[in-house]
Amino acid sequence: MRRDRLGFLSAMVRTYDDIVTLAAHIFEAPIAAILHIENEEHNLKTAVGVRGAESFLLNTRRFCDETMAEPDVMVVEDTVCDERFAGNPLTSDLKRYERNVALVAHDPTLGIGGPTVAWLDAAFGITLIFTWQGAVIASTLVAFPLVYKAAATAFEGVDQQFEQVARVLGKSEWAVFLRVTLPLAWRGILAGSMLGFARALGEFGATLMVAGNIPGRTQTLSIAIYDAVEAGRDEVANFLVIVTSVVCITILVASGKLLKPRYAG
Amino acid sequence: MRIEVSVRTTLRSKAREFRLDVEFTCQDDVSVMFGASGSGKSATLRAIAGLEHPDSGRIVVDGRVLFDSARGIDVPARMRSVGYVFQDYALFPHLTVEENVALPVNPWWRRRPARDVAKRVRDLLDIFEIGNLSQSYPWQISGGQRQRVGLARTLIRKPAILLLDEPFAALDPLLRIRMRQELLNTQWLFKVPMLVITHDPQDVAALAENLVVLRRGRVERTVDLKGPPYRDEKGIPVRGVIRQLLMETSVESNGTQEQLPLRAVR
Repeated sequence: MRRDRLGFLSAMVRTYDDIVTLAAHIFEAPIAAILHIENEEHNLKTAVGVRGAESFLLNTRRFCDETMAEPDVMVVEDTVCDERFAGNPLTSDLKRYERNVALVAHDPTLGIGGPTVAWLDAAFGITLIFTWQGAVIASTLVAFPLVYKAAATAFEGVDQQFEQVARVLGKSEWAVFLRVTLPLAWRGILAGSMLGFARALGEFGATLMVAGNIPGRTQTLSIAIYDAVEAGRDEVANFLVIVTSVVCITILVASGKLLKPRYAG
Repeated sequence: MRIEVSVRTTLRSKAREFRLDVEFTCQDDVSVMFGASGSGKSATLRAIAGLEHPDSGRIVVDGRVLFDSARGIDVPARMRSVGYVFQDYALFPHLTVEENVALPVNPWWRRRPARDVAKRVRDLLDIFEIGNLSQSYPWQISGGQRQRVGLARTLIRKPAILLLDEPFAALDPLLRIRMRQELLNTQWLFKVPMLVITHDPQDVAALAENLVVLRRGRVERTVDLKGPPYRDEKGIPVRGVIRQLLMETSVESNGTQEQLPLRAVR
């Protein structure tokens, strides 16, 4: 299942630029780079804060070897004192680097996301970090308990007598579910899903962590509001708040209508 | 046509425990199981339909063993070919009359009646004189009409036996008299044996050829009512059975009979 990583990676160069810029920003680092290592060959994909790619590559070799040996994200508290890196031009040049902390991850996901994300990347070349797919998955996970609870309540709300009568009438369990349970429960399930959607729309933390805040790519509505407020663009923020409010209120009203008892009379 | 029922089980609710130990056979067109609320008649009927699984016992309908704890037989409800009409008929509220009646014989992926099913449904609805209601929903029709739909839905599969749980309890008294006659007509028309449970002595008087009286989870007696003189299982003549039942029920309903919902102990 392993894909031709090189071809795949070169198609993602633009995303890599985004990632290094973002990483350098988040960690307030002077240098951020993505290196691709295959068959002992170090290949600089993209970098910020680097002059002279050749010498940079030469000096990062030590970093890469140590990082590969480490299962997690490698954090070096003080690169000047650390025996592995003391003397390395990249870390010892105090004039260039104010903070002597190195944080190196050996996959393009910067070590965020844990084993599942790393496995997806290793086995299928699927990268979720800083993609809109990642944002979707993060929001889904956050909203799932809400949808699950609503669906469970809806299924429990179906009078067991209807399921029993269908069984006595000779229907298989599958037919009972499809023709009786589901039709009697779908309104509750749909209402729950809509609430879950509203919840996902307002999702902030998980999205920001997994997908980041890349305008036009992974920026969600609620992150855009935060961004606009931070940047002092109040009229943009106000507009976006009105948009979310209208959408959420519409959803709440609609789900309330769906949950009204239907077969009265 | 012969039904053999022997069922032993313990039903339990928070407040009490209830032992059900019922054994009877009947081979008439219409048998009635009579008892006050909480006497165990519903539980017995549910066991015959396969909705409850007794601790031990044996249920045979028309020579077919549906349940036999000794041999480990417990035929699932859907394969028992037993018709069961619930007390409030349990018509599916999301389906029209036509779709309700078609459901037992329709393939699972269809909601509307399949082509070959549609004609059977129409004929059956015409027999029950509710053909004009085929597109109505259950909540739009009257109690008597609902019962007819419930009967049609059950009979479309030609069950070996028809179990009716308090079929007239949901109807007003005037309608009951007419629906009892209708039920007998249905029995005659479809030639399907019936086992009716009731706590109304009038039902016994109108329907029963064979009477099983249940009391506190046990068969108190069985009476052959096919014609006077009535005799009980020992061949001893019984007079005024119905009047006696009337008196007994009035006594029991004044008593301390609990009506808590019961659950089978697994």
